[in-house]
Amino acid sequence: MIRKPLLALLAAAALAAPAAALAGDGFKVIVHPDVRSQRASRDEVSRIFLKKTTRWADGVEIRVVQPRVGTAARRAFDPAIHRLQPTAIRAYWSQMVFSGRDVPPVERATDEQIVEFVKLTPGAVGFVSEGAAVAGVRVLEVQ
Amino acid sequence: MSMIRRALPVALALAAAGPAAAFDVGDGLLSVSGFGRWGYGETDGNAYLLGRDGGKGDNIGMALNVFARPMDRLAVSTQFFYDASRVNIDWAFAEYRVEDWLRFRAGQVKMPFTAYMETKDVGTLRPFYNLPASVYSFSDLSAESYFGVGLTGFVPPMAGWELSYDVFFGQIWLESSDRFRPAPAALNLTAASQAPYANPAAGRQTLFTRVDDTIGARLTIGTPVPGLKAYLSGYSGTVADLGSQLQGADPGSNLHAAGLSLEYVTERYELRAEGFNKRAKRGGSQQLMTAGYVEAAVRLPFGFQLAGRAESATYDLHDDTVATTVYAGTPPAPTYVTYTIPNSLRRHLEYAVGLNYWFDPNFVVKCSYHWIDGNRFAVPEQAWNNYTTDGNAPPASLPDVTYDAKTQMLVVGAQFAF
Repeated sequence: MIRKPLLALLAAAALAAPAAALAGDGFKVIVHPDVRSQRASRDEVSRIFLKKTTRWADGVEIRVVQPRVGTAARRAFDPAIHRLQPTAIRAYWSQMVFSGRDVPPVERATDEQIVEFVKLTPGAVGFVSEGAAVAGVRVLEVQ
Repeated sequence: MSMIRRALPVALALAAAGPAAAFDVGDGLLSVSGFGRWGYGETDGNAYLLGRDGGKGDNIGMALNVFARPMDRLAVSTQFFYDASRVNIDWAFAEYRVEDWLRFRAGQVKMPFTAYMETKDVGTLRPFYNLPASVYSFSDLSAESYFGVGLTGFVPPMAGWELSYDVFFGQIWLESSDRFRPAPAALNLTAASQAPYANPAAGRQTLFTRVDDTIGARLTIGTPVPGLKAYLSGYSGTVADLGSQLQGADPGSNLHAAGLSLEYVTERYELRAEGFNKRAKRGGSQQLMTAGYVEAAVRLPFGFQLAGRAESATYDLHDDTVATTVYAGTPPAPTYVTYTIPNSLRRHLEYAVGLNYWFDPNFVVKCSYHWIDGNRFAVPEQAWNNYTTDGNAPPASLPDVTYDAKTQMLVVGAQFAF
């Protein structure tokens, strides 16, 4: 009697989640031109930015960069990709930092700085606001 | 409560300073973070956690956390903690990442046990100033860190379920406020100085138990429901033989602890529940501890948060008598007595309500009221001995030091992180 409502709740929660963070969500994910991956699922992108996945499929180390807290791109990215609000993300990183597990991704103040970081850093991935110029990097399709 | 009026401006001044950001060098190659706290606690009699009869406002602590990544796969981290009287190294270890699902750790590592133990002192990650004493404070249930080696990793997710794990092997030190020792030992008295049965020279008397060959594990389960997580954790080990040093369990005996933690955290709500049980052999009998709590918090408008918590810890000693030699009279003469450990020393029941104001996710001022029943953790400050009566008469040769089993406490404090 207890199992059915619980399963229904879990299924409903999974179905209610955003289908994908695609173009039009207020940000785009960019990667270094040498990164072979063309696309990634929302879950995969989430795990990359939470540093649960640290290498690309070909073994290259992933270097993560993101906008600072409070930027429009960050406000759009966190709930769409992680399905978590900024407070929850901050709590996640506090737990990681103060248990000695890892530190949050590198941050940059502007889209231009993020594009520059990704362009110059092999294996880098970041996200910028949807209208940002992304010359020299490649946009990763998020499914 | 006059101290509160004097202490509140300090908290507000701290708040005005605002949060700082973690210090980062070389794009994550070296990061320095930290957290701290100040708190005032006042009780109506017994000493409990930071609270004292008449008030105590010099409760302060600060930690600095250094994380370095000298190579892609290697991370080294340590944490220094200062708590008004001493500087400790909370932990210091290295982690080598073979794969994301396989990371090797060695050193003094934060113990992966319960939901909070790895971040036990970080006040910005919880709704109350103190963690529930039943599980976390001098409860003899868990250590802050283990000395040894471990594995950890994230298992690839399936259908929205995420798993991460920790396993470890090594040595741990359990800390408890022991209430079950024979009186002279508990009072730290020798045959030459038995006159006072209180021990004014000592502060909170704690007892350390070293557990060798400890094998432990924790499984963290992330569910498809955002914010809902479960933890299964436990460990098992053997109590070390430290000669004449008193410990919480018999040397050579086996000690087992395990439990379940559930948490649901959203932007507005926090719900947590944990339950644990620990078995240890002591004095020819099994000592069973059962502890748990439920806490809930809700964010209100304008940065306020309302929180409530209920917790309980019970100690089933099976053989609840203590036989010991006490000294009384002038000159002191030894008398052999057997007495029953009073029930109040074996229980802790607490209800708490709190109101917090979050200036920022990294800075919070907390105020809480606590009602406690039992003397497992709450006892008079200057009488850390076994002779609470709670209906049982103490041995006739001892002074009457009946404890009040009921305690009320008010806490005001500020906690921050960067």
